[in-house]
Amino acid sequence: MNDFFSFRRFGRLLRYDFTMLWREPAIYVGIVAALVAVVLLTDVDTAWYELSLVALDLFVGLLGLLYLSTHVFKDMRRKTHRMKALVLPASRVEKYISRLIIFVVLPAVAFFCLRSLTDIKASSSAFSALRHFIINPYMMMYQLMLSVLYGTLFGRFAIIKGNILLSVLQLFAASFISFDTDFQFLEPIIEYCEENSQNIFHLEMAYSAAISVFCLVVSFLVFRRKNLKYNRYI
Amino acid sequence: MIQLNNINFSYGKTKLFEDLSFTFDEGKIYGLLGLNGAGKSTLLYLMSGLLFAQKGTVTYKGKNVASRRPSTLADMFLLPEEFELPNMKFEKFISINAPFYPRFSRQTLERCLSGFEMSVDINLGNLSMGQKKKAFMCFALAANTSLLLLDEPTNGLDIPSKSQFRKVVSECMTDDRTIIISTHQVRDVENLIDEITIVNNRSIVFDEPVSRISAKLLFADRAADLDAESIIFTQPSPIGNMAVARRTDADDETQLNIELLFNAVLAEPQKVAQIFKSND
Repeated sequence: MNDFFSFRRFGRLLRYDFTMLWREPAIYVGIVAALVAVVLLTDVDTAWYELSLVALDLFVGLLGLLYLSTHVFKDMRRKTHRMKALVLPASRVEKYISRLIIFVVLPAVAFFCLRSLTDIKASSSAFSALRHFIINPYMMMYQLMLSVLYGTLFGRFAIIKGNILLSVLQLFAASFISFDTDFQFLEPIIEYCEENSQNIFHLEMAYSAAISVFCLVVSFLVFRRKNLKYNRYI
Repeated sequence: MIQLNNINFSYGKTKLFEDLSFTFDEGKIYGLLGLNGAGKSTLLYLMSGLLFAQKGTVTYKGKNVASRRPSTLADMFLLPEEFELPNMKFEKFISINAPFYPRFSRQTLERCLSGFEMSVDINLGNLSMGQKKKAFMCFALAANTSLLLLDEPTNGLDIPSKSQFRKVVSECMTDDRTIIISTHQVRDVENLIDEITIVNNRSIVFDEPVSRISAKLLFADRAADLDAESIIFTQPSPIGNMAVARRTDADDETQLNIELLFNAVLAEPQKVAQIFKSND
């Protein structure tokens, strides 16, 4: 038996997790569908249409997805559920990916698919400069992965606790950089930005990818150490 | 089958196990006994990989259980004292859970359910806690795993169900299985267990097969019925003093009283250990 990853077992696990954890992602997709329907019923050539799209992107697309992605291990806050999830015969990698698919990938895909319906409608109108998704997708990607990490580390109010932690780390980093009066630490990055000002997109992409991978790895490492004893993390 | 190697485990500053080593063999039903907080459930959680030992390892068929390998998890089943079942039809529950256990037997499940006078056609959300426990226990037995860990399995069961439990478990027992039952309800597991294991003071203080206990000890409801010199422990009872005594070749075998044995082991560990010291 392959103890690392088996597609057959993963299929069973996805089915199991869908049956047990479908409620929250389904509610989210339902809300998105309802709001998109409202937007579609709105007259394209009005300011209200643009405003509703901004609200949809910000509150449902960004905040909604971030909130949902902190719930990746929400059921495991309860001892009985944690017990069941941990002894289920599937590898830790499979369990982790399965939950990512259910709480992050599928809701995000559903959001972008439903959201694109408004693009189709807007493309028929000459007006509507804001019809595209207003949030940078790379920023969105690493924000989602950060939320997964917050959800793995903290229980309730994971986003708030996570952002407080991030702010503290940023303050610490800023104070560290301030000692470096010549900014030698930042020199290579500044140089790269100056030389590649036309190509800043790649830096942005690399930055997002690096943070995303870091968050995924750390949250997996925290997840694999989850057990019945250490409740403070979950 | 499952081996504990020099285990250290504590909850904060409370040490539960210190340098504990023990092996549970296959083909036996173990009765795991101990005082409240002695660490019976913790031991089961350590064996199922739900808790990690601070020192030492727990190996199941040579593999470290802390790794939680799917192949290991698919060959063991833990029935915890507290659990929650989803609000769904039992058939649905079986269809999503059974594929994870390669040796799952539908036939065994139906036999166990009929042993408890239940059927597959039930909705888990409509059951009482005792009924849920019976349904989940049937699933656990039908999973046919080599290692079955039962934590207080008879808590919440009604009186007829307790004898049904003994019947169902003994019917499902095979030579390649190990069943470990952690319980305080010793009367519920009488005539079912093969070996009695007692946890106390951070270690396993007693572990003997029932047959050897019966060969070495006498249990009497009245101490007066026994030779005073051979008595190692007495305990007040409504009809006098219950007693445990050393058995000699001339004595007839008596019915094992697990409760009395447990109290004797905790009160007179050295005397009991002395009796069981010889290898015969």
